[in-house]
Amino acid sequence: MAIPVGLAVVACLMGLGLILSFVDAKPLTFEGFIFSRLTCSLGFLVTFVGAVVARYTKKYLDGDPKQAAFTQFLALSVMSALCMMLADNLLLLVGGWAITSIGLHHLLTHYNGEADAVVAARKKFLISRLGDIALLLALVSIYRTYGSLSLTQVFDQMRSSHHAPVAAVWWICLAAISKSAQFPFHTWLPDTLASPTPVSALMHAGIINGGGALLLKFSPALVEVPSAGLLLSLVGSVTMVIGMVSMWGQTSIKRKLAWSTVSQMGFMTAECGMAAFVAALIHILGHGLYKATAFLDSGTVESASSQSSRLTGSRSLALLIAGVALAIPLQVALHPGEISPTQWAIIAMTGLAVGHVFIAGTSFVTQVRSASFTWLTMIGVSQLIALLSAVMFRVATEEFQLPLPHPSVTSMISCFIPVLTLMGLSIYRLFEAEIRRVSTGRAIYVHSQNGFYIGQLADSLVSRIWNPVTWKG
Amino acid sequence: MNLAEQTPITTYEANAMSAVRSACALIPPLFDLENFVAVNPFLGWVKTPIDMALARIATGLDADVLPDLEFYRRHWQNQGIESHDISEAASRFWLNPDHVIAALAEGETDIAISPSSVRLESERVFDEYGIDLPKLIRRFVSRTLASICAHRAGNLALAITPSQVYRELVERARIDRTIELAGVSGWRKWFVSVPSDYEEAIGWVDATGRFDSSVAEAYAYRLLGSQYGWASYLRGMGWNSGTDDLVFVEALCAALLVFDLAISELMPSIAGHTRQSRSNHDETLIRMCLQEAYEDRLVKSQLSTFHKATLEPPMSHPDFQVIFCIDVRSEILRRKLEALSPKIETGGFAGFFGVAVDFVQNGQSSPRCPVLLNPQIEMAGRPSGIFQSAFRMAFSSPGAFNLIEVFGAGFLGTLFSKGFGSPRKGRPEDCSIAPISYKANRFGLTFAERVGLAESILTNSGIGSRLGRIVVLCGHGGRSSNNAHAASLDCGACGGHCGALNAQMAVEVLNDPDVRAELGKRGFEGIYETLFLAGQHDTSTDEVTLYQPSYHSEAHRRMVGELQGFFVEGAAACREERVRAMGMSGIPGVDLFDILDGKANDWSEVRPEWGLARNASFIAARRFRTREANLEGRAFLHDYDAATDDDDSILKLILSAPAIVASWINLQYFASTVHNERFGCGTKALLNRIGKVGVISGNEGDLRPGLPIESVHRPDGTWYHDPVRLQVIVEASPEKIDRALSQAPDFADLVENGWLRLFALDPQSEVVCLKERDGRWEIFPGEAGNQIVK
Repeated sequence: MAIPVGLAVVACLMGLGLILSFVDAKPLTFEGFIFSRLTCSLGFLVTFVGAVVARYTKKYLDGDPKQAAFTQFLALSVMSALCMMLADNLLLLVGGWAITSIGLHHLLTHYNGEADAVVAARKKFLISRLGDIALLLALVSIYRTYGSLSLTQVFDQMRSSHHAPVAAVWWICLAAISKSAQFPFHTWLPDTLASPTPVSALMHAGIINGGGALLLKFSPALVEVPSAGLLLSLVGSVTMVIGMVSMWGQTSIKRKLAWSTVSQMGFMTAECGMAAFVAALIHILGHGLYKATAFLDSGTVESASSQSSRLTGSRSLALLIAGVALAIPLQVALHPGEISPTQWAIIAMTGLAVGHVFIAGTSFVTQVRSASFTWLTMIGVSQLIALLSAVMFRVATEEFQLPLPHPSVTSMISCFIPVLTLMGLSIYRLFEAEIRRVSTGRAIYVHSQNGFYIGQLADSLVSRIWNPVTWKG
Repeated sequence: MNLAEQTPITTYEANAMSAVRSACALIPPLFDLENFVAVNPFLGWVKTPIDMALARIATGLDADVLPDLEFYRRHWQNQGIESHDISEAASRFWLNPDHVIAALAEGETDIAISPSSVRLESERVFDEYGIDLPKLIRRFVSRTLASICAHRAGNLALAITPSQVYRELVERARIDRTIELAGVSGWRKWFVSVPSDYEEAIGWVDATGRFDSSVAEAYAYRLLGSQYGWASYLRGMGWNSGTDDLVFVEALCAALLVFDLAISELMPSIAGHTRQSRSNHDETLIRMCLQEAYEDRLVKSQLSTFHKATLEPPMSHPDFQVIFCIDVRSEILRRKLEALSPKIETGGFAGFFGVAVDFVQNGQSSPRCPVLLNPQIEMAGRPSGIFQSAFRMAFSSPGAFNLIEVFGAGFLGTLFSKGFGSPRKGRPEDCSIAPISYKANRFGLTFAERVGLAESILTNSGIGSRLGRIVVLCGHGGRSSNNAHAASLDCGACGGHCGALNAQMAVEVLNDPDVRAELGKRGFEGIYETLFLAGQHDTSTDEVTLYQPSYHSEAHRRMVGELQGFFVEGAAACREERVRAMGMSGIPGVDLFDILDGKANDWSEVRPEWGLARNASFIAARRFRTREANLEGRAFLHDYDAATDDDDSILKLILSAPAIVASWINLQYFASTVHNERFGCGTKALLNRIGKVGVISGNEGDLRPGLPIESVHRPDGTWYHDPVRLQVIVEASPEKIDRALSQAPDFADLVENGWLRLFALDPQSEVVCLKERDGRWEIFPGEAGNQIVK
């Protein structure tokens, strides 16, 4: 079959482009497209995942009467998403954006006999059209301000004037929020599991990143409008919490993965709000690769997992603090120059992650190994994570040349919110067992299984707008 | 409204309770994915004649068990069924063959299942108000049960109680808003006054008069049918707990009764919707008859390849004896091996080789024996998966966001190698028993127990009197990647795991010098010259791995080398045949092993192998009867020599254990093929795993039992599995079989009620008889004097 091979070739070209961009740092613009390190790495992700998924589909849907059409729509979605990610011209960007959604709609309704699939696809379709409107409004506003549709030219003017049209940037943010499943537009994402596994992999690893790609592309404009950063930071944090708490309530692997995507996208958006664009880019790439693997391999029954020895909340808290304390010094030491609020936020969040590694390690590893082995390993791991994180951000910040935030009170608040949210979420997680013993905690758990009913409300709204009876799949 | 104050009348309660209990008994067990073994979906119906059961299954589950007329018509048109088959079968059903043929010729193709005569309140509300309550309740129950079961799958320490099942459901009904949001107001409040004990709740519902005693059982069965997968899982949970296996299902049924009562009170009937059901008993009978005609053809063609008993008997002490599991997949390999050299003799025996182990790992019990037995030996495995578990925990914590940034790039390699990498040789489930020293505790068996175990293996497998120089006990296991139902490709007799563990344990006991000395005294001649080896047949690639024992002599070493050569050659021939069955042709220059191994390691492969599909018969006979017959991997072959079984005890054992297990497998494939929506789990592309508990399809919904469509249907949608009931052929006189039947009541039920068919091949007269449902033996085939065995 030609399509998997074709996509693999394009993925190779994107990879090659990425390598070349490191040889010659100057972005190459060509017929409305821009080949920079940023766009090539995003393009590589979406085409690579697309190629893997296309190859996977060949056997996975073998014999399905609609297999050929499926693969074609898959290619259409991937190529239009690529077009959107590489676009320098705003019209190309909007076009790619809209066509991706149409291709995806066909993939989502592959089994159009599944009522669930159809409802979720419609929900997605309507939300995407909201995003289209926001994006078009942004386009109009930018064109009226700068008289150009070329992003390179527009950003050059913004950089020299240190100013960006606030309305346009807000529209961009809203478009990104709708596209990357941010609260309250997230509910279609966990409901699209009545489509074949490869669709989920492509969507959660590739196409969902459209929103993040949009924000990264517009990062030169975002840094000029601190209020937009605050919006992203807030929306991202709320999404992060809803996504993760709902994920903890899920019982099936694919629902867990889907809600995890919601929360991860929330985190990524919050990072954009913090103006930590490099971190957001690394997050998009890492998450895409992880999530594609997790979905495509979701049939594998976990190797015999042992029962964790449940740690008490206070013991976990002590481990969390120890993790933070151990992870921060090395990161600070490796940081050149003054540390901005954004960088402090990243350092703190990495510290929290190390703390959670400590908790997981203690829960399991002490069962088979001595306490001293566990501790030595964990200290080693904490320093490794700190080192990797520090080096990676340092190198990426230098190499990707993404804009850095301008110091202001608003941007400082934007940095605080996600860190505080993550701390709150961590503490909730540590004391979850205790919380669930009281009736409110129990109720929260039951509600979280239903995604706090936001999806159900959205469904009934959608079914009022788009009547199932008139639907012809 | 406090209905609990109306004290239930005890007789009501007893009636309601017994109706619930008998409905619960109709639900078959379902085991978790790690220990997924085939279960007869009609287990609860085996004491009911099949034609009666079919109608009641249709009422309860909206399920059609038999293939539709179109299936038979197709076979009729291409001579898969012929007129004389039909007339023979018709005479058994007292039908006029012309009527049956006329039904085949008629144009009616699709027999829609008529609406059930029993209707749940949730279904009424769906009809009247358009609120999809059946779906909402199903999802609510599924969520709730999944969250209390997902962590405990197989875990001994986390056992839950039946009242917990009920209480959890009722308590969550007071919290969960999904049903109210869908338009049933007052739902949560209604549950405040519900009894907190499930037995009390059944009486309480009964006291409201909702339980029409004439349909009580059918109503409860339909309620459970609305939650068929979870009900089955709860039955499986009770099954493993070793006590009363129905209590968990009862608790679920009580909760479902309460839910239906809530619906009837909160959503009063607004229209006199009545359902009409039509009886299609005649048509069922016609299809039963056609089914038998179709099966007759198969039995005739299999029997016609059998050898007469006049053939010279096998040599007394062959060089090699390879004992395989009775699994249909070994039939091909056995045939290929025997064709290589007269020195090789193969045998068929239940693949756990009589060693009933409970393998306990990470505090989780994993019985490695047929589900009909209780494990005798407990074996502790090393804790495993510690780092993976820690990894999973960290990646679902709030630390996951940054961990993905730090480690995400590492998945580039994983995704690339799985997505594009050339298939590497994967390893089957770890089946080596190396960590456990046999000498240390001899599996905790006393000397007498070890001797008893060894003796029963030698006697029941029929090799005791003519032991070969090298005897291989060969278990089997499948390999597949990204397959939630991987266990269904493993050995069912080993509880859905590979059989090498059991084979190795059996061999350790048989090679034990003390045991051998004792066996020698008990008259097992030649045991001192015999070397026992454990092996494993990899059913994905047909490779046989031998596990090397410590005990060796130079002569044995040479012979083992020769035997391994035979295995390599036999496997190659076996692969040729299997690849053809998979509808693939080999690629020139590419070894078939590489192709099959590639399939086994490919994460996108939904048909790594055909498993036990097309299984059709169970043959308990001396091997030379079938040695030259090509049974196309469709027969379970068990060795049986009536001459060595004076007291019928071996036959009784075969009928009451391996034959029943084979029938479970057979009916699982049957039902998953014919009505996959009900008895199978749909397409793999939508499967969504609930931990190790099982699978659902898509977003949310009931747990799904049975096999995926891809395991029984070809890529083009036609059926690969051939839905025939198990045809059990026993080489013994009808009188002998009758004596054994009287001691194997469970098997006798299956025969009497038509869930399988039993044939006797008389070793003296060569006459084949079919056991009729009324107990008589009829000469088969019906055309008088027509001896089928040549």
